Amino acid sequence: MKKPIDVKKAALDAAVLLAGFVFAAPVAATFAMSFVYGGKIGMTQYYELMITNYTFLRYFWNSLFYACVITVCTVALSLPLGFIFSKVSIPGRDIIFFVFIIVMMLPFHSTLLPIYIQLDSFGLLNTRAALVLSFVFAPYAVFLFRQFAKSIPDNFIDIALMDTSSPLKIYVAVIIPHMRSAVAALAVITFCESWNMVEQVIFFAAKNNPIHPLSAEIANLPEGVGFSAAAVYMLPALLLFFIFKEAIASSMERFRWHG
Amino acid sequence: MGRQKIIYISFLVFIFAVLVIFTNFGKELYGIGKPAVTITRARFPNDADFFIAPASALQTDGEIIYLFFVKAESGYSRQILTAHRFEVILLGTDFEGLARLKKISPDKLPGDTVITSADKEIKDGERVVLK
Repeated sequence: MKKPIDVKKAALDAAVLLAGFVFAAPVAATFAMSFVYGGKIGMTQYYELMITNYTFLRYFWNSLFYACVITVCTVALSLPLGFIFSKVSIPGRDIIFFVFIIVMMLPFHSTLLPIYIQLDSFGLLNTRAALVLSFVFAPYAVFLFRQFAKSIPDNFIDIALMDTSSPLKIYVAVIIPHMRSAVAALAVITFCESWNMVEQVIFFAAKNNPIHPLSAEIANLPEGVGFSAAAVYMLPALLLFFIFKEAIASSMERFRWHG
Repeated sequence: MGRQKIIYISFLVFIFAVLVIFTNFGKELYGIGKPAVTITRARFPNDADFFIAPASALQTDGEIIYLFFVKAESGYSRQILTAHRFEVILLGTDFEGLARLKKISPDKLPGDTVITSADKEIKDGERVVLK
């Protein structure tokens, strides 16, 4: 007997396929157009980008530097905070966490002025440190790690407490191994976010062009090499996503169950 | 580690290696394959319908006499020099090796610099580099 067609499922599949196409089309078009220069297909656009306009690569390495430093610092700062907010009893913990949530909901522009004043008073405006520091204190990262740490059973920690009384040892031996997928997911998200920073550059480092990341400079490239520049700019983030896609998917899944 | 992951990582490393090469050698690589030229400034006397350039800059194609002017554009990373062919009439030469020339082509000259020598044949509109 012929199996009846599940219309609902077919419609859902079609919708997902369409959404996928809508998201993928600009990326595919960028890569396709990067091989066209002056109406001819070839590698000329990449030649023009890499050789004639080779100084653009300076900004690429700036981007990589910021993305790596910000990612490492964000993970290093947020991981212990997430653990403290979920497992360590300190007075006023929930109130502080509530403040974190509020800050997370605020758009960047509303905290822009206080950050600017702080960086100015530290004498850090127009420095690399300004761009890194304005990014590394990420409330969403703390929130993500807290939700993950909550999923670790308290028994684990109690058993570890029988072996050692050092919170650092417990943190390293019990907490971090359980949070690996969350770390990978957050690292990719933070990397991509800092890879795309523009507003921070405009507000905190506008006067120091050599330290700008590529995201802020790509618009200044000659018109003819725009697509190849965009392709080179996209590749590291795309590859990073493909490398860590399983970790991202599994962390999302766990986040859904324990969030 | 899955095979696919290794491919992605290898590709990422390859891209970074290519970018490192172009970051360090992009400036030098630009000159490869392009004619290296020497240039000099042509003189345009006031109220004269001719200009003066070194006779060594002149080239012939049958009965046609021409020379190359250099158009300089400030690019994103460097100054981009392009050679533009202009046909001229030779009015005369003096003992210093300077030629009095009249422009035939109606186009506006792209600049006042002419190519006096090149290490290979130049095509009209081709990019050149200084020796």
